[in-house]
Amino acid sequence: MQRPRAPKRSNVVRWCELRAAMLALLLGTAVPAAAFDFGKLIENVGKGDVDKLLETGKRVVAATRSMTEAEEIHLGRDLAGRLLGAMPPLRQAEAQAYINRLGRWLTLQTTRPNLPWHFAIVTSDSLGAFATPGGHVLVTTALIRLMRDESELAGVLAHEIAHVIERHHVEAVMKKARAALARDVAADVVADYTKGNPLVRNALLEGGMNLYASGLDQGDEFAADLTGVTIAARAGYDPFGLLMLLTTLDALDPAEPRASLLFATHPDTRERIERVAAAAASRLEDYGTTLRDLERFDTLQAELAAQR
Amino acid sequence: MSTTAATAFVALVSALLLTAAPVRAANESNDRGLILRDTSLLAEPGHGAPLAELARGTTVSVHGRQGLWMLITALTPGGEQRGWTRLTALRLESGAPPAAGATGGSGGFARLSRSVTGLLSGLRGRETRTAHATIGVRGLTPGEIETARFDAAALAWIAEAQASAAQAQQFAASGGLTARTIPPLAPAAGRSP
Repeated sequence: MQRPRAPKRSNVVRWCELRAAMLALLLGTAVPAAAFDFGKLIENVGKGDVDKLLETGKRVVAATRSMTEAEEIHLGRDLAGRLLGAMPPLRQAEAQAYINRLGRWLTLQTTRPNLPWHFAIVTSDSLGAFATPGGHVLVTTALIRLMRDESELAGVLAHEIAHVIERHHVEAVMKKARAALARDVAADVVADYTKGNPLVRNALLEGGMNLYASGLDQGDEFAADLTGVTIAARAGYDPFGLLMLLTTLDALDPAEPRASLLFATHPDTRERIERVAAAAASRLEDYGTTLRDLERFDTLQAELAAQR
Repeated sequence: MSTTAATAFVALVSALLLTAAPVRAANESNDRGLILRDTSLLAEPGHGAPLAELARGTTVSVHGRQGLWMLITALTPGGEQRGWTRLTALRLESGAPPAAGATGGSGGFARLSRSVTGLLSGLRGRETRTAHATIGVRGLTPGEIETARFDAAALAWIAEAQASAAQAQQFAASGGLTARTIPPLAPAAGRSP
């Protein structure tokens, strides 16, 4: 016996669905409308392509929804692995244990203490520190050599932790990926290129690596400075460790090659100092004489010196 | 060179030497700083009558810090004066001061139990900084970051050092650190985040 066939949807209905999907995509992204040339898009779509296009649109809308914490952790792990490819970890188990305990103590003062936090000292002549979504934080040997005491290291780690807590990289990566995917959807139709394309993962990963090369929005950096200062103070450190390290960086030659990536990816150092000082004045000054010197930091620096 | 000119030259050199090398206590750092904008030299951090006005461009010696205030010595019209100035009014030209506690005795802030250690670590631990670019050392380029290959072995190796909350708490306790309740900082008025 022949089963009754489901009524076939007309192309008009499918066009409506397609438009709805595309509209949702556009509304859900910050992509300028110019990124989509609907007229051209439609000219190039034969009727047989409608289902394919609809499917692609749905796939992209699904891919650019807000990221879950599990996805955030997975992406962050992939990005950390890439960063470690450029900056290998310092092969000193005690030093790595030290920075993990310090970093973990800081995270306990935050709203996300239960992320799988990992900290690492990485070998590089570049002055820098990096955070990836979900809780990997890397700091270079060159930057630690420039520090005076543990409160400065706590200040840097707290700044990076703040990026993770506030999901700065996640949001920036999603924004980049949406833009990249929007372009690719158009290309998809024109070039009829839809099969087995790992668009989403690639867009997120490459967008993420590009962030470490080009920097976050300046507003995110200023926000991380303030949140970081608060985290360090909550953990019992002199809140101005970060400020003192920034003061050291401010004294460097702007052409200093070790600092070129740091300076290129962060707001003006003097502006950062001014903003932290203005926000903290009269609010955190009473904490400015609390503990910041610990012999264990000297031990770390001695280990770094021995690496040379 | 005339006698007058020679005398003036000697006076100038003396003045410069005096500025660069003020009275220095035995356990005190003596970093150099540059005043970035006209500001007051205060008797106490954040309050007290101004001891002198410091003009932009003045070179000073930096001894320590308390909160957002730096203890400095400057050559003023009234002679060499020691006092406090805002951290933001200063650029450290050659390193930075050790713990404020190590300055020994000004006010009641010499409370750090490890003040001398702190000073020594400050001098020993940090690199000598100059205003010149480091020769022969280059940093990472954006291209090297973007083309970096995933290193699974390195990722696994660093994971071995992961610390538990209990280990972190023990770390804090051994360093004399205790958690405090502090409200979040908001950007100062007139500044977006």
